This record gives sequence, C-alpha cells and structure tokens, in this order.
Amino acid sequence: MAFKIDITTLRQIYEKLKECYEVISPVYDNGVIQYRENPSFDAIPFGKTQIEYAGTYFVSDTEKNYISYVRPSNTLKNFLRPPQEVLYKVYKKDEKIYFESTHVKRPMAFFDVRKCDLKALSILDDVFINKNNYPDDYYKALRENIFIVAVNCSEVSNVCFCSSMNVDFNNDYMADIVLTELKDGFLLEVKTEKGKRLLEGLVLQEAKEDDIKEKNQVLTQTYTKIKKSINKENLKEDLYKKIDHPYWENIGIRCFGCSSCTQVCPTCFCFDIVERNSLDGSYSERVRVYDSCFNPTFATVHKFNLRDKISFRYRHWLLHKMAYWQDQFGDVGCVGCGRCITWCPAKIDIEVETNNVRDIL
Amino acid sequence: MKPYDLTEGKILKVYRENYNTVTVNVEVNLNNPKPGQFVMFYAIGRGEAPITIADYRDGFMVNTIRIVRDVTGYFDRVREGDVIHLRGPYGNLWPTNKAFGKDIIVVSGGLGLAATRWLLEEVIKQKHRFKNVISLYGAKSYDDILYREKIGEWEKEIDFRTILNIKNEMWKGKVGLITDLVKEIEIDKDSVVFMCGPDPMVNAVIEILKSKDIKKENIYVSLERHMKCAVGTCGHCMIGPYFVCKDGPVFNYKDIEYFYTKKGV
Ligand SMILES: Cc1cc2nc3c(=O)[nH]c(=O)nc-3n(C[C@H](O)[C@H](O)[C@H](O)COP(=O)(O)OP(=O)(O)OC[C@H]3O[C@@H](n4cnc5c(N)ncnc54)[C@H](O)[C@@H]3O)c2cc1C
Ligand code: SF4
Ligand code: SF4
Ligand code: FES
Repeated sequence: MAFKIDITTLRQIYEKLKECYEVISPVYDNGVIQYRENPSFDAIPFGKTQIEYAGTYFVSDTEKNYISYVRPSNTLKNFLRPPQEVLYKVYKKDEKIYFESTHVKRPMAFFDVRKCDLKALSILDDVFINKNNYPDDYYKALRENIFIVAVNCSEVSNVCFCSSMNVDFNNDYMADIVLTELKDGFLLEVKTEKGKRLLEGLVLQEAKEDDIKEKNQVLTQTYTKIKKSINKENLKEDLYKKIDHPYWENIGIRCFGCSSCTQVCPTCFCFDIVERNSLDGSYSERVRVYDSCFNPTFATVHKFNLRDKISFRYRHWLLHKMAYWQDQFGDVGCVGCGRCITWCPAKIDIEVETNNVRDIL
Repeated sequence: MKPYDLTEGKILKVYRENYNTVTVNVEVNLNNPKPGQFVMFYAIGRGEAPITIADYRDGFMVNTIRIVRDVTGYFDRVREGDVIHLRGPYGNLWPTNKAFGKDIIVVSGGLGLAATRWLLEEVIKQKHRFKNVISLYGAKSYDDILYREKIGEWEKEIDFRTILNIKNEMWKGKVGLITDLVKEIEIDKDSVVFMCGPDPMVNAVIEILKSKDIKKENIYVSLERHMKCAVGTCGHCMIGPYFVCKDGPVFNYKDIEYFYTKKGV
C-alpha cells in the first residue's frame, strides 16, 4: 500500500502518533539535531542540513527540501537501552533481602528513522534477543511496544558509508510506515497492520506508478552520493592477520581513549551494572549503565588492565565492529552511520583507519 | 529464566582456608551444574562476582573465594546460616570424555585449584576410564595451600604433586615453579591436559607441553576475564571473538591460541 501525501497530511499522521505513543523525533536544539521525547511537529528540523566531517559538526539552513538533514546525532539505543536503567530495587528488611524487578513499558513511536539506524536496530535485536541464550527482558519490554516511521534519505553527509556496510536501501526492515520525499510531496508506504491501523480515518490519495519510480530514483541518487566505503571482502581474515601490525600504535598515539565513539555508536552495546545504595545498607538499586571498551577498568583482572595501552583498546573496538562481530553474530557490527567519525575529538575516522589497515601490505 | 534473577542459597559452613581465602558450603538448588561452570554471587550494595563451582552434590555447593574488594569482601564476614543470593550455573564444562583411554593431566595454579577440584573428584570416581591420572598443583607459599584435607585424600588415589614457590620450614615437598612439575612428568604424546591458573602460568606450561609434543587440541584451559553479566551481553569478558562467559570459561587451546598469545587482545 502506497500513498502520495503532502506536508499537512504528514502533520496529521504525526498528531495521530501522539495520541497513542510517546513520539520521539529529531529536533534542532543548541546547535545539534537530536532525537528528543515529545517534541512538536514544528520542532522537526525541516530545511536544515548537517555539515559533518571528522571531528566537525554544524547545522545550517538549506532551501533544498523538507527532509534535508540526515540521521540525528544520538540513536535509538538511547531509548531502548537507556544510558541508565534500574534492573532491580533491592530491600533489606529484618535481615531478609527482597528484589523488585522494574520493567519499564512505554509505547514509543520513532518518527524518522533512517536505514542505517534500522539496520542498527536489527543488530541490537540480535545481540539482546535473537542470538542470545538469555534474551534481555528489559530491552524486550521497551522494544516490543514501538512504532517506526522510516525515512529514505535523499541527502547524505560526508561521513556516511552505510552503503558498503550491509545496509540495504531496498529493505524496509521493521518499519511500520516508510516515507520518501518526492519533488512535490511525500511517498507514504505502509508496511504493517499497525501502520494500516494508524492511518485509519485519514483521506489518502493512492500513489501512482510514477511516484514509485521517483522514489526508486531518489534511492539510487542517494546511493551514488555516498563517497566513503569499506571493502568487506575478506575483511575479517585480513584484519585478523594484521592484528600485530605496528600501525595500531600509530592510531593509539592519536586516540585519546575518551570513549565518545562508543557512546554515539548505534550498535555499541557494552554495559556495566553498578549498585546505587543507601548509606545504611538497607536499600540498593542495580543500575545498568553504558560502559565502553575504552574505559581503563573495562578489562581489568586482579588490578591488571589487559588492554593497558590505548592502541589495544582502539584495536579491540575496531576489530569488534569489523571482524569479531562477524564471528559472534554473523554480520559486521558497523552500519556506516559515521557518527563516531563526526564526534571523535581526535578526528579519527573508522572508515579511513580500516582502509589503512587493509592497504598495509 | 530471566537473565539477572537471583536464587537464594544458605551458607551451611564457612571454612577459613588461609589469610585471604574462605571456602563455603552453600545449600542451593541449581539446574544440573557441571564441573567447569561458575555462578554469579550477589551481595547487596556491592554487586556481583563470578565464582567457580568447586563442587556440587544434591543441592550442596562448595565455593572457594579469595577476598579482593567489593563483592568478595562480603565473604570475609559471612557466617553460617546467612542467606546469600546467586544465579547460574553459567559457562561450559571440562570435556573429560576427551581424555578417556588416555593420560589425563590436571594443572592448577593458585586459586585455579578451585576450578579443578570438582573435575578431580569426578576423574577419581571414573579412574578406570583413564590410562593415568596426574594432577600438578602450584601454590605461592605454605599458607596459600588450599584443601589440605582433600589433597591428602587425592594423594592416596592418584599421582598428585604439589610445589611451592616459596620455601618454608613446615614444607617438606618441592619448591619451585609449577613448570618444574610439568617438566619432570613422563607422559604420552597423546595425553590430554586440563589447566586453570593465571595467564603467565598458562603460557609457561604450554611452552613445556609443546616441547613434550602434546598436541594443542589436547590442551584445555579455563580462563579468567572481567565479567559483569555472565550471559554474553555486557561485552566485558571478550577475548578476540569469544565471550569467556558463554563460549568458555573452558577453551580448547587450539581455538584460542591466536588471540590468547597476542598482547592486549
Ligand atoms: C569464570 C570465573 C571464575 C572465577 N572463580 C573464582 C573463584 O572460584 N574464587 C575466587 O576467589 N575468584 C574467582 N574468580 C575471580 C573473581 O571473580 C574476582 O576476584 C572477583 O570478581 C573480584 O570481585 P570484587 O567485587 O571483590 O572486586 P572488585 O575489584 O571490587 O571488582 C568489581 C567487579 O569487577 C569484576 N571483576 C573484578 N575483577 C575480576 C576478575 N578477576 N574476574 C572477573 N571479574 C572481575 C566483577 O564483576 C567484580 O564484582 C573467577 C573469575 C571468573 C571469570
Ligand atoms: S562504528 Fe561508527 S560508523 Fe559504524 S555504526 Fe558505530 S558509530 Fe556508526
Ligand atoms: S577514536 Fe576518537 S572518539 Fe574514540 S576513544 Fe579515540 S579519541 Fe575518543
Ligand atoms: S560477562 Fe558479560 S559478556 Fe561475558
């Protein structure tokens, strides 16, 4: 099912979503385009564009079209595996201990999710549910109640390289409805029953064959605009072979080990579980927080950090994304969204570094 | 079962092994645990820590815990009758069947003996299935020796040898490194080795085993890595592409050698 709609209808769809969900959509605030909870349709940064390079980010205006910006700086991970989540509340009463498990269920609608982030979501699903012998019930509780409005990109940024990282533009993944901006309006494709139900009551005009054609043109054009790429052929084997190469030291000198890259990455899943307790020892919360393989305590065994050099930590991170992940989950762990490139204060570029390592003989 | 739900256990006995180590007997119902596996112990306000199952029979578990800091520190003050919380069992097992009909060598360094204790008990029970059973144990000092009574029993059943790093007038046995014990034993080329100890010990022993022509695929090591979740989700325990908590802790040396021998992997 596909329809051609205008911006007024898009606003109606947004309002309908707000009736049943907590809507999360990109917002321009403080110089950054970010996913935010409960914004208004008018807060969506239509007509804005991001200028992104390694270590560089700013937003400017453009006249081109409505959806001229690219993916936001934060990710779905921030909502489905929040930076802080209480797993248990633990009470001690009369020398006995009681646990209260605290699953949050909040129906969330993500308005405007790009293909890279949809692919990242399917990767997180594998990590936390599908390819895990102990499916994570906290992730699941949040994950099960979401609605996804996907958007096909018509613009790209300088740091995007999704097209070479198994992100399929012709796959709509788990989107409920998909939007593509056309010259005069939007193509609205309905992919699920949930999507169909949302649109009930709206007067919609069926899309014509030409509209579908135009959408496919948009996809192809966007695809060709992407300049960066990683050749995945034998990528794993090649990286494994070069695990000892002195080039990693060269990266280690430049990297600050700040963990910024892992925080913005949509697929980085590592966490710590910490205790937040009362002084008298009668109450404690088991809180799951983001952790990072760049943290010096991440791999300590008896006070020794097994990755005691930053070059070891960077290598671990890159190898996990590009190689280990393939062994663990059958796919690369990077979707080529480029966030880690933009937000690296040392201007380290994972696409450049991977290619550098690959080109070293 | 939800990944982080804890079960109750009751401390039946606390035995002080030495200045920093306690052995506890815990009454707890676990789902069919096996030698090689571990549990996560929880202490309120402190967190969780992975601890090997040193023995388990009909609802009674043995654990030996070295007091380090937060979580293990709780066991410094644990008393008989205390209720504790844990989850598990996790991880894979010692594949004893791989050694049927062959010499089996168990190498344990320091607290590694906790991880091989139950294995030894099972191997002794099935002694007839192996050609020869040899167990080598290296402890730092006289005070560090664990399971003194058990060792007495084992010495009667199998070739059990102990070596201390540091001399002591109470100690009449050998002094040196565990590698000295590995050097002196005479074993078949197709022997199967089960090993648990600190990484430097494992590396040194492997070198000697290689010089004795023991095949890499006949060496199994139990590894220790930082752990938080125990279910393959937190990322802490990775070594190369392996999660020690779910793909291990017991690994076939041939599988991990490439990553294990690289620094910082
Ligand atoms: C599979 C396995 C089996 C083990 N079996 C035993 C055993 O039978 N007896 C024993 O005394 N010790 C064992 N250890 C080591 C023991 O888990 C650590 O000494 C313990 O986690 C230290 O916790 P802590 O809270 O006292 O120390 P802290 O320094 O306060 O550590 C905080 C947390 O970091 C993690 N951590 C820190 N050090 C280690 C480490 N060396 N290994 C894993 N996680 C760590 C844990 O989650 C720990 O709770 C085992 C480790 C592993 C991986
Ligand atoms: S590694 Fe970088 S480019 Fe790849 S998914 Fe993560 S943030 Fe995006
Ligand atoms: S690569 Fe960049 S963002 Fe990542 S830890 Fe190093 S300096 Fe920080
Ligand atoms: S301990 Fe969390 S992944 Fe192994």
